[in-house]
Formats: sequence, structure tokens, C-alpha cells
Amino acid sequence: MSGDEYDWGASATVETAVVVHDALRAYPALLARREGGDEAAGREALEVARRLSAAGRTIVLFREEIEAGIDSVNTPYRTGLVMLRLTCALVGLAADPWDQRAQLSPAELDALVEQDGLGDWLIGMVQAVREAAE
Amino acid sequence: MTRVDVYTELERVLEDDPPPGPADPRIHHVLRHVSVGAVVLAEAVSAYRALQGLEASDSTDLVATAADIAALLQSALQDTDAFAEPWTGGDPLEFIDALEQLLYSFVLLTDDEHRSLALRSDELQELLSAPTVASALRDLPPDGGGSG
Repeated sequence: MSGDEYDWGASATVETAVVVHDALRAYPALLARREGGDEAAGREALEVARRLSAAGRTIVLFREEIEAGIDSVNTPYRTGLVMLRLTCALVGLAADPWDQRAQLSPAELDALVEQDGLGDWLIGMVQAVREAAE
Repeated sequence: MTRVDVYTELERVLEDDPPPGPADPRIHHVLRHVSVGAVVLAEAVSAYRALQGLEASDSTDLVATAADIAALLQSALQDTDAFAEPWTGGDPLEFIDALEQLLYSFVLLTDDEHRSLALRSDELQELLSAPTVASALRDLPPDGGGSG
């Protein structure tokens, strides 16, 4: 890549990592609030689902660039999988009445994130982005 | 739009219409989700085509349709590896991909800021033309949905 070309693949990868990381942190509390009857949690879940969906569509647009820029074949695949299952769960929270068929338990989510070191990769990516922004 | 109770459909397919061939639980898992997913997909495509051209859509309907897709995908992806292996019926990941892109697009249509990222008609048609997806939709009974 030449110096004046914007690396869309790298940008989409970083943005996706941040969105997934933030959604992973938000989901357990949103689930607990929805289980407790808090309807506002459904609206907030839809907002998080929108950000994930935007990232999911962006990944499709830049799939080749993203896969070319990452050394682990599993990382984009696992990130995409976690993003999809998290979006499903959040859409279930946003439905009225909320749809328990689509939910993930916090334990299921933890197991997904632990696979192939995805959690460590996400944390490292997000820390680097936020340190660079400071 | 007729709502599909995904879990009820999964159980019906499992009990009344067992797939032919060896009783490999992974193949069975894929077959029943593709079978029910075809109904969900056809209904979702019909709804999407009706809603995507509208400037303002009722987000309740959009989210309800997205929730049907979400329930099917969440159940299917409990055994992700089963979908990652090619089988004689085609590549089941094509099916997951189509449902995934529709799920995201329904969610994006709920918000003006994001709707430009949702699937365009030509992108949707390309997803529906994937061999495994096209085959599953062709196998639907006449009243099984409106994918066109």
C-alpha cells in the first residue's frame, strides 16, 4: 500500500474490534435489566445492535482487505461469529415482547470470547486505539 | 406477514420429517436449520423488499422480523463447526451468510443514519442466487414464503 492510500481494511478491523468490545461489555447488564422488566434496556440494546450491524455490513464490504491484513485466519472469522451471535442476542432484547429464543447467557458469551484468544486480541486492539487517541 | 415460531418449526421438522441418510447429528443439525431457515428467509426477503424502499418504517415490525432471523441463527450457530464443513447439499455457510446480512440490514433500516449501509436490491439478489440458498428456496412448498 502506498503512503497516501487509506487502509480501509485496517480501519474496518479496528472499528469492528472497538464496537464488539463495547457491545460485549454492555450485553450482560442489558440482559439483566431486560429480565428485570426494564423496557428502556430494549431500546438501548437496539442502539448497540445498530452499531454491530453497521460494522457487520462494513466487514462484508472490506472482507478481502481485512483478511489480507490479519496474520491469524481465525481472528476475523471468530470476531464475525461473536459479532453475529451478539447481534442476535441484542435484537432479541430489543423485540417487544423480548425474545428469549435469541439470547446468549453470559457464560455462553464468555466461552465464545475465550476461543482462539479472541478476547485478548480485542482488548489489545481497543487499548491501542484508545491510547493513540489520548 | 406470517410469523414463524422457529423453535416449534425446528421440532416439527425433527419429528415429522427426518432427513434421509446416515443419522449424523451434525448433518441433521444443518439440515433442520436450513429447512426451517428457508421459510424464515423467504418471509424475511418478502418483508425486506416491501420495507426497504420506504423512507420511514415501523421499527417494531423490523425488529420482529429480525428477531425471527436471530432466533434461527442463534440456534443454528450453537454448533458452528457443523456449518463450516461442506456437505452434499452444498455450502451451508452461504445460507448463514444470507441470513446474517438480512439480519444486519433489518436492524439498519430502523435508523435513518444507518440505512444506507443496508443491503441493496442487487446485493440481496446475489445472496439469494448462491447455490445452497437458491436450492433451499426452490424446495419450499408453494405457500412457504414469498422470496420471488
